[in-house]
Amino acid sequence: MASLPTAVKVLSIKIFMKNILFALATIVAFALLNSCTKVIDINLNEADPKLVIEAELLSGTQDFTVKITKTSDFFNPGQPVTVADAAVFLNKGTDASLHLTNDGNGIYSLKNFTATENTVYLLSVTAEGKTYEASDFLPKNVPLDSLSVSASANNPFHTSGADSFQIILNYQDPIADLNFYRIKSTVNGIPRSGGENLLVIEDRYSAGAYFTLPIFTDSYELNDSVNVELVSMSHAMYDYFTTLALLVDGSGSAAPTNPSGNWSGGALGYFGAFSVSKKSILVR
Amino acid sequence: MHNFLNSCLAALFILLFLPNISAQNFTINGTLKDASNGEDLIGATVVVKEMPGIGTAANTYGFYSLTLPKGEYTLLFRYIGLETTEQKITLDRDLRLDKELASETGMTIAEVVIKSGKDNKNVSKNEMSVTKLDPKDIENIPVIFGEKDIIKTLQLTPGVKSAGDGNAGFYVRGGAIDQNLILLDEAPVYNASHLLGFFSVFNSDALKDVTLYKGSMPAEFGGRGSSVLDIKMKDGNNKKFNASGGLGVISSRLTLEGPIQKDEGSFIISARRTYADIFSNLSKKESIRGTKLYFYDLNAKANYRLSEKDRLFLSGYFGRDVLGLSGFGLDWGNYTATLRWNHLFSDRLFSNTSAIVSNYDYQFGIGVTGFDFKVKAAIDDINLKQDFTFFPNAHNTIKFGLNFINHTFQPTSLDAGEFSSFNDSKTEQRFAYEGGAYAQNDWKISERLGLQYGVRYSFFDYHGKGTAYTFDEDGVKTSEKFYKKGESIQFYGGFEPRLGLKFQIDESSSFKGGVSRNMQFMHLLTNATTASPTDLWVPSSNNVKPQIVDQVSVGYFRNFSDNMFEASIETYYKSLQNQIDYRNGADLTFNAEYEGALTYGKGTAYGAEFYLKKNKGRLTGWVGYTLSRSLRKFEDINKGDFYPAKQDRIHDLSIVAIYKLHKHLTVSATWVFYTGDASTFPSGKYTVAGVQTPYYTERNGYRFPNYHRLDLGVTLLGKQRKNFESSWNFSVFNAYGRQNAYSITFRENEDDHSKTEAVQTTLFSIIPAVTYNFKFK
Repeated sequence: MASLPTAVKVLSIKIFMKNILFALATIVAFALLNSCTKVIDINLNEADPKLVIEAELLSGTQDFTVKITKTSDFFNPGQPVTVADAAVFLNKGTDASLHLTNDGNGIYSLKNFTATENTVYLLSVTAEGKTYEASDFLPKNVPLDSLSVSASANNPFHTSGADSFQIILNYQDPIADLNFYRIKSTVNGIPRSGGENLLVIEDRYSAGAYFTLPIFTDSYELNDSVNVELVSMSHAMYDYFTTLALLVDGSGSAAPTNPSGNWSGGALGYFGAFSVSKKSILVR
Repeated sequence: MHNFLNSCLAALFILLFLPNISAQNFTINGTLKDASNGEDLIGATVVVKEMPGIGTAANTYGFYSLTLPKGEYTLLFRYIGLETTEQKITLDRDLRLDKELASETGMTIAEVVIKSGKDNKNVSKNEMSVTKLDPKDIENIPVIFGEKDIIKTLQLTPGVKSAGDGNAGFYVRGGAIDQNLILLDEAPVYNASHLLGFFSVFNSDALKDVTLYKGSMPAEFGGRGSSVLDIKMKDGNNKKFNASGGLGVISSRLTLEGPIQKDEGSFIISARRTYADIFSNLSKKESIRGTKLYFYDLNAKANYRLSEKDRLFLSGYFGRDVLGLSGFGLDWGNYTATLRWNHLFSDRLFSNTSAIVSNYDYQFGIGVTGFDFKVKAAIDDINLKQDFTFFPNAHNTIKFGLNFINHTFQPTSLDAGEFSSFNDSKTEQRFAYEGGAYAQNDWKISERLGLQYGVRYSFFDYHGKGTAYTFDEDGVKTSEKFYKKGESIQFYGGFEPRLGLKFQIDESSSFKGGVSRNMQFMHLLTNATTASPTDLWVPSSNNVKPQIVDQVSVGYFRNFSDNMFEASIETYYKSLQNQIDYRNGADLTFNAEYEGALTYGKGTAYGAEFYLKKNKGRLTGWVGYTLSRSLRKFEDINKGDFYPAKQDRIHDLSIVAIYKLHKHLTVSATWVFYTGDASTFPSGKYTVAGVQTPYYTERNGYRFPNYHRLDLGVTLLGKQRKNFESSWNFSVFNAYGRQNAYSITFRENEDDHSKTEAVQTTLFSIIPAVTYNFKFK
């Protein structure tokens, strides 16, 4: 078989270590007799709403959108409060600032914007009398050669039925520099949710290897039409998504913290500049 | 050489402590043993009837020495639970007097027997903040799965808190789990729990004496900040061969003991194995069936008296947990071995030399095609100790000695299988020397006043070969340097004063105070909520400073109704320096530069412990209540304000009641209540990357629901025959089925992604258990 990238090892073991205690304690308790989980009512403080700015700038030509919302009470089921009347500007080096139009509902956009690789972009947001800034480096795209399907036998990281399948990404990692990736998938038009869609890896231990990388945090059924994106990102974004993934997997860290994004001024969220390579496959 | 050393020491100490010594002094010494099995009686007392307040106590090996002016005396030999023995002596020469004390129902020879001796040790001893347990006394206390466990019994005493539901980890006076020095026959035990914390590694069948020091530790102990749990294994019956054991729902035990040569030497072997996986295979859940889940441990010890003056002990522990699910396996365990040589340099100078090895390691492997690898981590110690006990006169007992430990740390490393496509990734080993020298005197100043004072010098040398890193204030690496083998990277050393003062108000009450400093050079890094086998012990280094814990404690002790009731109030204040926490998003695994993920702060802990114990009668037991706080302060956590540590349980109450209904029938109950753990919950939420994300505002700003639980037990003794006895033990853990929170997590509702919910996991509901115990003798 093709050699597995050691990057997989580093990341998967981290996830494993993170979850091991909680999972095993529960299993031990089940095995020893009885344990149970239940949804409980709990009183949580209502923190002062904080600004959340999420912006993903993708390489190539497309609409660039920025979403500005506020944090809400934890058990509030409604849609988040959106922020109107913000002034949003995108900068590239010494070029003139581009003003994003306010589309309402907290969405600000730049239609048909062309973002170029190997470039640092700066986004600035002025909302409610305060200015927030973030910059990110848009890395060179790493093309995805192909996707393949294999039976997923005993995947220790993702419990699944006997008839499930795994999808493997095949691509050449560039030898030159450190690369950071996020792998996203959409099944039959519906994006995966939660931790399944937050697989991030780095090539620190295997720069320049040919990757045959299984999406081991997920599994797929027969006849699923799967669309996979290999997203190249900066080191800062990799750190952001790593902490986010650990936070949403629900394993109960002793000291959970907010992922620290790249916004100055203390806004939550992130401004990421990504280059994306896409492929589709039908599971059969 | 011996004589020279001896006389030098004698001269020194006599000059120091008793200038008015008269010319005609003689020494009585010997060993105190239990007549039924020949076990050394640790802490048994020898009192001179004619001279109130004068006497001594046997050391860890049952040895005592008492120097008195020439004369006629009546000596009282006492040990709780055994008959007090009285003996008249004429002291006109040095005397060797070995004594065997009979149990209260047994017969004695020649000596006058006094029933129910004066059991006011808790009031009269110089030491405070000490909890002693006799493993025999815990038999009737109900515990989870019917597995009697000394650590879980200790958790029912004031100042000691459990690390979680059914968990054998513990916090002492607001300190962390890694601040407990756990010694099994002098060997440090690095991970004292089995099955992810639900059992302690100590098989109480093999134990003789358990002492927990919560404050003003004797200077002979060093290396941990909050407590010393000193556990001594049985020596084995040196009178006759015994086989005893038990069959339980999830485990069975067997102990064999007997003389090597009658009265001269004995051995004991005790083994235990669980079979919890039987239940997992009955489970309806497919993912749980086929689970491997068990642990075993083995305690063995042998001792032999080489001569009147020399005795040799060899003891060992080996335990292992094995956990296997489809596709992966995890196993971990400790082993320790201790070789000890007791030697009497004179009738007043006792020496013990120990050579000790301790090891803890864990490994897990994944055997799935494409994922096959093994992860390992370990800590290895080689430890040498030399301890002296010197008995210059009836007022002083002096202890002094040296200790040296060679530590080898193997951080998590990866071993690829032979056919694996992974590369090995071995993280650098780390090395350190740790050592100490101490001297201490237990001084009976007068009948009322006693002082235990001592000092310990401890050092730690973190050395190569290895790479040392430096980090800036944000935890970003700024430099690295390679050090040669043995080259010192960082040296720490310091003095730790230990002081305990007793003022005895009257026969049944006393006031005590203590001051101590403890330094800790090794730290357990964990990011999980409870003790986990994958936690990592790391050394102090150029980045990680030693933890320093200073404690002041005062207490009032009083016994009532002829020592039927023991009561005490102790208060303490602790200041903790160089405490360790993690930076946001800290990542410790496979990270040689993990020190960059650490942040340092300080802490404070204070509290009051109330204890009322009933020792005699049909109803025995105790009530323990602790009112305490444990706070931490880190510059980059909660804006640098004090915040509660996880174990900051303000109220902690334990009630233990044992009632003897009938000669053969004992019922018991325990009830515990404590304030829920401090925990970090979200105070809001937001959506990024398509996920509902919790928004956290402060560390440990919330509380788990209060914890409470009732356990019940019944012990039924079978007919006691000459060669055989048996008993049945029935217990119910969590009798009213309280759903205590093991964890509380926050997540998106699986069906409606717009909703978020809090989910509580409860590990143990009502758990009945039965154990059958037997003994062939």
